[in-house]
This record gives sequence, C-alpha cells and structure tokens, in this order.
Amino acid sequence: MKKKNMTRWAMIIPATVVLAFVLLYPIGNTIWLSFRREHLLRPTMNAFVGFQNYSYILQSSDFLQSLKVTAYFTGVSVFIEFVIGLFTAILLNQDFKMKAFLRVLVVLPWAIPTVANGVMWQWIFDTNYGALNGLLSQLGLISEYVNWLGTPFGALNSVIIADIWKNCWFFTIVLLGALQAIPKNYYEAAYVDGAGFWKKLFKVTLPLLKPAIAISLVLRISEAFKAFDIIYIMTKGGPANGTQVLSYYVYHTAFESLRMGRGAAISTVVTALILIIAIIFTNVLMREEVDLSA
Amino acid sequence: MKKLNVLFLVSLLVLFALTGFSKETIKVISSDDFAAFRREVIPEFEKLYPDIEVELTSVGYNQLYQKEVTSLIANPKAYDVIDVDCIWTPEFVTLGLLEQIDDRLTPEMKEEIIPSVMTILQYGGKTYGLPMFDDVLFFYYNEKMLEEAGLSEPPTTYDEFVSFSKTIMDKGLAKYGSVWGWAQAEGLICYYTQLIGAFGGKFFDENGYPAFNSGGGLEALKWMVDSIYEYGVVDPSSITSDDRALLHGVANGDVPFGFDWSFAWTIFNDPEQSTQVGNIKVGLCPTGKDGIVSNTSSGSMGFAITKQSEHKDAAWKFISFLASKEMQKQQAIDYGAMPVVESLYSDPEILELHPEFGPMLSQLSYVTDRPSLVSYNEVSRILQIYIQRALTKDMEPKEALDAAAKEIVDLLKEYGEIN
Amino acid sequence: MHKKAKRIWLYVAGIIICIVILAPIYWMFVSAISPKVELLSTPPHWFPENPTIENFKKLITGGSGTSGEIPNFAKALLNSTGIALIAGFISLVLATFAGYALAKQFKRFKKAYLNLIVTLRMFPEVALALSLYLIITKLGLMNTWWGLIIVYTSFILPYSIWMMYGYFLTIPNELDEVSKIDGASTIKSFFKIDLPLVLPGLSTTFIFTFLMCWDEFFYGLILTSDMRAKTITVAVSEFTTRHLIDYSMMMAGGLVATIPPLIIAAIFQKYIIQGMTSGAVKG
Repeated sequence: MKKKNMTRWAMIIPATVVLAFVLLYPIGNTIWLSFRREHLLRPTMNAFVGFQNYSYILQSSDFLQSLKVTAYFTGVSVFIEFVIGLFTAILLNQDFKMKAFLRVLVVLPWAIPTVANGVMWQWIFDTNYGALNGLLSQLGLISEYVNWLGTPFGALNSVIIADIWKNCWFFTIVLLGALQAIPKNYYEAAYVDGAGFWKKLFKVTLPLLKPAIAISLVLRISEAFKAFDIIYIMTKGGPANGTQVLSYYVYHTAFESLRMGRGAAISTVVTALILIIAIIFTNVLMREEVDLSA
Repeated sequence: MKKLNVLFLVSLLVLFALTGFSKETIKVISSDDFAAFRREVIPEFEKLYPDIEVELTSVGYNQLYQKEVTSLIANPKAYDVIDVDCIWTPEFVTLGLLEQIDDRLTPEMKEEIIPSVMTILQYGGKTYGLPMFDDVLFFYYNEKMLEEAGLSEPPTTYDEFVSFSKTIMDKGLAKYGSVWGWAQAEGLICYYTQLIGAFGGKFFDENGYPAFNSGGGLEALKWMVDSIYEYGVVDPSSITSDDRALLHGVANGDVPFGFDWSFAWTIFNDPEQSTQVGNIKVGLCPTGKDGIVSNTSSGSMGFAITKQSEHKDAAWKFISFLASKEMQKQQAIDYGAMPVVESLYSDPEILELHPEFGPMLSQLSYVTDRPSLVSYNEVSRILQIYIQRALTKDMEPKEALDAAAKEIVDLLKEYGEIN
Repeated sequence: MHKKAKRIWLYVAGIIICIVILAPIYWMFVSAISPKVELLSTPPHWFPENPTIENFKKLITGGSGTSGEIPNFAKALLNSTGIALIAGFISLVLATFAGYALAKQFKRFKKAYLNLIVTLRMFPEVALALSLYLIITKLGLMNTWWGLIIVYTSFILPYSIWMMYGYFLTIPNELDEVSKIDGASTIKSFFKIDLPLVLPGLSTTFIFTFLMCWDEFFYGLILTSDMRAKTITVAVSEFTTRHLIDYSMMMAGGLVATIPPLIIAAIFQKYIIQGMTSGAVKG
C-alpha cells in the first residue's frame, strides 16, 4: 500500500511541477503585475498602484471598442461555424459515394496553420489584384472593385470569413463523431412518425448531440475569444482599430507600448470573461449530463 | 619528412585556432530597406578588417523598433549596432541605450557629413551615431501617362494634383490618380507630415501643446479625406496600404502618381517587378498653400552603437566604413539612396548613373521633420488611429484631431514632457 | 423518386463543399507558381501561363532581393520541427505517467486536478505571455529552442494529460487487478499491461501536439529575434509584412508552411479525427 502511494506520487509530481512552473506561476505573476505600474522602458516609474490599471481600462474607450469587436468576432464566427459544421456533419453521416473523400477533405483546412490561412485570405481580399474582386467582376456581380479590408466593419467581416473557412470543419468532425454514436433505431421511431427533416433535427438529433455541442462550443468560443494570429496577419488591428480584438489590444499595450502592468490588467479581465462564458455554457447546456472531468 | 609534415599541420591548426579566437563578431540589426546593400559590402569590410566578423540581422521597418527595444531590454548585449530612425533618437538616448560618439568623430567626418543630416542622431547637444542615408518622401510620377493625357508638367499644387488625376482618369489611362500608404502604421504619419507642412500647419506649438487640430493640420486631413470621397482621385485601398504596398500601383502602371522613399526608384526600374521601367520620374512634392513651394517628410536613418556593447571599437569601424565616401557613393549608384556626404552631390559619376539624382536633390530643401519627443512612439500611434478614423469616415476630421490632441496632452503630461 | 432527388442534393452539397475547401488552396498554389507580373494582371490569370518554381528555389536558398531579405526557410522549418518534436515528446512522457496515475491510482483528488487542468486550458496566451516573456528573459533563454520548448509545454502538457487520462480510463480495471494478483508492482503493471494498450492513444496525442506547436505563432513572435529559433509561422508572418510587394513569394512561403501539416493531416486523418472527437466528446 505504501509503495503504491509512493509510485503514484512519483508519477504525477513531475508533470505537476512543470504545470506549476509554466502555467500557475505565470498566471499568478500576471495578476500581481496587473496591480503595478510596470513600464519596461521607464523602470523609474514602476510602483504598486492598486486598482489603477483596472479603473483605467474600464474607462478607456479603446477597451470598450476591443470588447465589442471581440464579442462580434466570437459570436458571429462561432455561430456560423456551428451551423455549417452541423449541416455538413449530417451530410457526411449519409450514405453516398463522396463521403469517404469528403471526410479527408474537411480535415485539411483545419490543418493549415492560422498564419498561412491569414496570408492566403489577405491576398484573396486584396482590392486591386485579389481573386475575390477578380472573380466577382468577371461574373458581373460587381462593377467596381470593393475595398474589402478598407473599412473597419468590412475588415472585421473579412477576417471572420477567413476564420470560418478554417474552423467550421472542427464542428463537422466533432459532431460527425457524435452522430455516428447515435443508434439508428432512434431515427427509425421518428421515421415511422413521418417526421420531416427539421422535426427530426430538432426533436432527435440536437437533443442527443447536446453534450458534444456544448463542449465543442465552449472550446471554439474560448479559442475565438483569444484570437490573435489571424488579426495580426490580416489587418494588424486596423483600419482605425476596427479589428483590434482584446488579444491584440493586450499585445499592443504590453509588447508595443511596453506597459506591462496595464497589459496584465487587460489580460486578467479577458481571462475572467472567458472563464465566465465557459462556466455559463457548461452549466446551461450541460447541466448534469456531462461531467467535464469524467 | 613525415614528422615535418605533421609539424606543419599542427602549426597550421594552431594558427587557425588563434585567428579563430581573436576574431571579433559584431551583431548588427538593420531595417530591410538597404539591408541588401549592407550585406553585399560586408565581405569588403571583412577584407579590410580581417579580425572582425559582421553578423547582420534584418527585419521589416514596422517591426524594427519593437525588436530592438525588447531585445535590448532582455539582453543589453544583444546587438552592438542598431538601426535608428530619426524619431527614436530622443527616446533611445533617454533610455540609455546608445553610446555617445562625439569623441570618435574625425575632423573629416565633421567636414564631409551634411550637418542637417547629422542631427538625426543628436540629442541634448551630443551625437549618438552616424546617418546612413538622407531620405525623404519623393514625388514619383509616370511621365508617359502625363504625356498621353496631354499634360506637359507634373502638378505643383494639390489642386493641380487633383485636376491632373481627374484628367488622366477621364481619359481611361488609370483607375485612380494616386495610391498612398495610409495604413495604420508609422508611414501614415510621414504622409501626414508631408501634407501638414504643405498646408502650412504645425504639429506642436512653442509650449509643446498640440497644434495640428487647427489650421494647416486640419486642412491636410480634410484634403486626405476629400481626395478619396469627394474628388475620388485617391485609390481607397490607400487606407490599407503601407509605403511598400503602394509600390504595386505605380510599378504596374495602375496609377500615375505616388509618394515614396528613395529605394522605390530602384523597384520602379527593375523589369522583374515593374512594367513601367524608364517611365517614372521624380518631381517636387506639390504644395497646398500660397507661399510654400513644396514640402515633404524626412525619413533618414542611421547606425548607432549600443551602450553595453563589448565591441565598440569594431562596431565603430563598421559604421564609419558604411558612412565613408566610397560606400555612400556605391549605395547611391546601386540602390538609389541619397548620400550623407556633401561632396557626393556634385559627383559627376553619380549624376550620370542616377538620372533622377538632380530632381531628388532639389526636394531636400523642402523638408519637415516629424516631432521630436521622448514618447514619440505612443504619440504617433494615437495620431495614426484618429487619422484613420477620419479616413474611414468614422469621425469628422476636426472631431478626430481634437480627440487625438486631448489624448496626446494626457500622455505627455503623464511622462512630464509638458506641464 | 423521392430517394433519387435526395441523392442528387447530397452530391450537389458535396461538390459545393469541395469547391469551398479547394478553391482558396488552389489559388494559393497558383499564385505561388505565377511570375509576379502575371499575378498583377486584371482579370486574374486563373491558370498560370508561365508557371515557375523560382519562388520556392529562392525560399530554400535564402538571400536578398530588392524588396528585402528572404528569411532562411529551411532553417525555420528545422526550428519548427525540432521544437515541436522535443516539446511534444517531453509533454508526452510527463503526461503518460500523470494520466495513468490520475486514471488508475487516484480517486478523491483527481476531480479537482482535472478541473484545474481544464480551467488552465481556457487561459488566453496573452495572459501568460507577459510573465513567460519575463521568465524566459531572466533564464537567458530568449531566442533559443529551449525557451520555446518550455513555453510550448504550457499549452500542450494540459492537453496531453487530458488525452492520456482518457485513454487509460478505457482500459478495464480487471486487467490491472489480474496483474496485481500476479504480484506485479504498479510500475510493472503499468509498463506490461497498460502502456501497450494505449499506444494508439500515444500516437494520436503526439500527432496532435505536433500540429499545435507547428501552428503556434504568438509566443514565437515575442520570444525569437533571429533564425536561431524563429519558427516557420514567424518567418511567414515577417515575410508578409515586408514583402507586400511580392505576393507570389508570400504565397510560396505560406504554402511551404502549410505542406507539412497538410501531409500529416492527410496521412493520419483517422488519428486526428479521433483526437478532436475524444478531446471534445469523451472528455
């Protein structure tokens, strides 16, 4: 008994120590920094300032703007990704010849590095030489080239399209996995009832997929809320800060303006928001059905 | 015999080892713009000083400031020589990043290097590095397109700039009159500086308070907004282009006018990158106000030695090598850069091999500098965002500049740059 | 009749998906092999008239052009591969032991531990980045492989523990009991009984963490300064900010960064689907 105890501790301690070093300590340190004025370039000004950083960002219009941009980006992109993902999952669960090929295909966009995806779409959206304007005008759908990335709202939506193209297949794959686990006789009962597609979807499929939907939504939302790479590549937060998501705002504050304290305060707020969203989602959608840790 | 051979080999090895150990390596970080030239001449330098090795890193201009500052904070010995834009000098000196070099300046240098260019690396009356080129935004125009449109001369005022653009667009020769680099980046402030001076405005008043939100500063921004939406002569993609991206439009013959740095000329005349080889000429930047002939923005950069460097002598040798008359001449001929050595401006060989050298030279008399502030970087960022808000019609020009002025005052007060 | 109409719709939808996925990738490929002048033509040349592999040659050999330096892509690929392999391996070893202990040896304490891991996974990189930047600076590991390996562990280790825990859980407890009766120690039954059974899980986790590291960009951006440690994503991003003038080169760079994960995804498609679904569904 004693020996078993020793072994199990020996097995778990190394990983725990590493986790503490690369996760717990940095998180604690970030929270501590958030109560300090910590300017990398002006060390003489560094001091403990209590909640000053927090009161600054909560009053700053930049923060509010970034929060709005992030909420829009997360909400719109994850919602559309989910809808596309759900229908393609249902499609790929049908018996037809293209099924096997499509199942390989949907993994590909997901495997493309976010940075490369951003570069690709930036070029597609290019005003004067981009493929999108070229295609649309050849098809006669537009008479004048559109400056997709040239307005704050247009740029934000363009980035969302790039994000959707890469990430909606995550839902396809996860939901397809869950669909395959649904026994066929569930549907047969509905078939006998003569239920149509929509009725089957809402009465049978969605309730049974609930746990998978909940977890995949939580994962995607927390990821979209942290999005940085695609913004950095495609718009650098511009034009006019129209695509400055919270992560980019932190990057700018901490690593461009080098105000570490203020950056730490923003990232603490971002973290709190993500955790709140995650908790709400897991509680509302899952209740007792799925235990996150089991 | 065999023994002798071994002895010879051993001594050769020892010699190798010795030279290997005594080699000094200096680490240099450079902006992309003339990195190709710098890399090209390193072998020449190493031949001249066989005991020095140069390790050159280059990054895009928009990453340069951040890379230098964060690297040097993490490790003060990370670089021996850094590339410094004129606007960074006050901050870098205040932070104690740069080594003062007044004592190292030779009498020839003091005589040869143009005094006004020397100032880009001076602060508080002391010198912290050597300028590498004398760069400003030049006015590039497509001579062939002007001729086809029946125009004999490039525009001299911004009113003409608009009407000439319209003429060329009406004849179907181009989609737009010009494309600018007004994306959210430092380049935007350079273009704004060009226009603020041309419209007779100022960034700050004598007390250091913002003055750009009225007079010439406001007119300049109004003109920028109108040129896109009112006159329709500026390509709206200017809002997302920087001073590199706009090169496409000019090099591809899509627009007749563009403003860019000296390196652009090489690109416009490279058949691999341009369809307009030989068509692009340099003229004086237009003016927006009577009494002002022309105005542009300066963008000169130089090399400085870092304060914590352990190879200051070797570093000095390298930067004085690049600032020397021969190297400056080669840089002007091969890469189109305006030299920092005064006598080269009458050098017959340069005048012959670089056809636009004359017109470029005349522009150097009409230059406005961006503001000199310790917190320049943050001030610039605030201005960029509010100018962009006006350009994207999110705010009225006056409203945007007033808001920028207010934020800048707060910032300067926080840092104690104004009272 | 009804059935036939349904089949047609299935194929129509399938073909639309193919086009949506493949068209952008096709355009990236075409742009990468088009000469620059052709790329700037209006309307776009959907099929290149003079395809060239010049861009890829330049990427591999490096050097400089008039529009700036071309980073050494071969070195960046090596950095990314090396860092991803080492970080993935270290995480996997730590996670295998920890996952086994959590699944088989702990009862009360495991729930709290796993909840903590799930919570930690939610933390945005930016919240950690500041402190990790200061730590790596202090350790003198800026711009090194080890600096990035340590930092990458912060996001792949929780994931790996989570996955391995799930795989060990699928092993019936009876098997462990049998070996215990035989008098085997915990360690012995771990290596003899459990480990061989989770080998597919090990591969899945490793492939997944490799792709996660390969995709990583933010830490690479702030923790590297030159080719000693610059990863492929950082090389591509820098490339775009400085080579705006040269789209075809940019696309070639993007493609080079994309091909390795694309090949891995195509070959190990089953593992990846499993990794995604078990990460979300089972977990």
